[in-house]
Parts: sequence; C-alpha cells; structure tokens
Amino acid sequence: MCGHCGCGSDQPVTVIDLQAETSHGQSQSHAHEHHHHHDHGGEHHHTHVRSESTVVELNARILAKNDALAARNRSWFAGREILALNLMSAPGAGKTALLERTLADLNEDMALSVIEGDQAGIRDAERIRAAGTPVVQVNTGTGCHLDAAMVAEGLATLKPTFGSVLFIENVGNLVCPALFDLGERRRVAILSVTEGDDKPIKYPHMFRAADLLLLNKIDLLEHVDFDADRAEANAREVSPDIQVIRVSAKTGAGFAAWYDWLTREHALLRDAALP
Amino acid sequence: MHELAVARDIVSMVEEVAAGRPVQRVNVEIGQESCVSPDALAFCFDIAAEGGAAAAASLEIARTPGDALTLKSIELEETV
Repeated sequence: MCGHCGCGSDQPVTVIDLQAETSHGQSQSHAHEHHHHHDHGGEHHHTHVRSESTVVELNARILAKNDALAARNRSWFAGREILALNLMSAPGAGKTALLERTLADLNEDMALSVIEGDQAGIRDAERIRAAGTPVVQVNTGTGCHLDAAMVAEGLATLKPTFGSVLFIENVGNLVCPALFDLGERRRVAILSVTEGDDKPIKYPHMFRAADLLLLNKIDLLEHVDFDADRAEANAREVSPDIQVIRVSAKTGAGFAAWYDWLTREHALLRDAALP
Repeated sequence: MHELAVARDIVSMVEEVAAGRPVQRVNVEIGQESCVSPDALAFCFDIAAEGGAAAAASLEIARTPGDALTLKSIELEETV
C-alpha cells in the first residue's frame, strides 16, 4: 500500500503491539511488507488507435484499492458488531487526552481497544496502555495519514473482541486523513478552542466527512478568542447534519453527552446486525 | 502530501496498463470539491513516475464538479 501512504522502503509502516508488552514485558514490532495488488476488478479497457498514439480508456476510480480494503475492514467490523470510530484532528487538539479520559471512564462497562496512528514513536500508545486498554501503534513513517491497509495490519495484531468499540486515532492532520476511508462506521472530528473557530471553513473536507464534532478544551474558552457558537455554525455550514458536543478532556465537562452518543451508536450498530 | 499518495496510485495503475510501453499522456479528472490540489498533484506525478513507463508522460488534469478522482485514459506511444 505504499502507493497510498507515501512511505518509502527505507521507512516502512510498522505495527507495534503494546499488548505483547503488557503481557510479556517485551516489545514486539514488525515492519509489514507492502502488497502490491494491481487488480482493478472487472474494469474494461477500450483501445482506440490514433495515428501517433494508442488511447486506452480506463475510467478507473483513483484510490479504489484503498476503498476496496476499507470495505473489507467495514465488513469485518460489521460481522463482529464492532463500532469502529475514526478520530481525526489537527496535532495537539487533544485526541489522546480525550481518549484517556474516555477509556478510564468506560473500561469497566464496555470492551474497548485502540489503534494509534502517528508518524513515529509509541508515546500515545503507551499513554493508552497505561489506561489499561488493548492498543497497537501504527507508525506511518513519512505518511501523513492512516490508510485502510494499515488499519487491517493493526487489526490483525490487535484482534478487537466481538461487540467492542474500536477507536482509531488518526495521524494529527486536518487535510490528508479525510481522503482515506479506513472502513470505520463513524468519523469523529476534534477541534480545540485553542485553534481558530474558522477551521471548519478553512478545512472543509475534514469537517464535511465527519459525523460528530467534539469541541475540546472548553475549559479554556474564557482565555482564548474563540467563539464556540461561531465554530458550530461554521461546522454546520460545511456539514449541515454534523452533531456537535462541547467537551473538556481536562475537566470532563460534556463527556456525559459524548458517552450518550457512543452508547447510542453502539446500540444502533447492534440493531442493524439483527436479522 | 496526500497528493503524493494519489500520484503513486495513478502511476501504479498506469504502469500496469502500459505493461512497459512508453506512456505519452495521462488524463485524469479531479473533482473541485476533493481536497486534491492539481498543482501539487502535477508536481508529485513527476516524482512518482520517475524511472517507469510514465516517466515522460504529461499529466492532463481536468477539473470536474463533485469530489470524484478518476483516471480517465492513457495514451501510449504508437509502436506499429
């Protein structure tokens, strides 16, 4: 999948299993081989001969390979009634802090697991592991986003349990992750009040793709020049149906609404799985 | 940065179809609502195509409504 993630052979994508570290006290990491599948399934090539060149009509969807793998992940999740959430934000919006509080609060009531995406290092995965949750770290090397193949690799190691909630923390970036379907059921964008309230207008793709917007760090609202109502209005301008919940990962404000959303989505998923 | 991933995807499809024959031109459609920048894509295409069948190819980018990214066609050098 290196055609997607932008990584070179010198910097392969790596999946680091922090479960192995928990249970065996040792790090287990492996660089995965990229598989180049070049089938474009049933597409039809028409060839016309011109005087100086041959035109081959393709009409092929670009990134179709990623979308096909994402569809496979999606079926895998559906078959196991796993609620997979793709968490996306700029670096520093508080994705990991938000996860830490969420995991600490819900660990006893729900089966949870996490795929952490970062270009390098296992800092975030260590924070999640400290919260007592199964986690794998996917390092994208030079890649600026997770793609469906990386998530599939992560799943093979993580093996999330039936009926669990899987949080996929994407690489901190407001642009690239929006383009790559991972097979998630819902996309959650996180915007913090230390950023601009015009971010949804400036990065419309990310917010248009999101089902839920968590407006984080609201404990800082009085200290910053950020209009939360305007931010919500801007988000609805690019994505009219987006739901918005204001939270503070530091104080826990608003988390009850976030947990209600999670519980509701989880129930919807189970209902959808009924025959 | 994601334009490099898109460019590599285009080049891999083109090289597969070209099967070693030199490619003169690659025609793509990039939706205006997509987050792919045509300038960045053109730049990345040259890098991604280096050393392969599409190394000398020109990338023609048509802007279309919506957010679809499509590889429309490729033109191969006439070998007859």
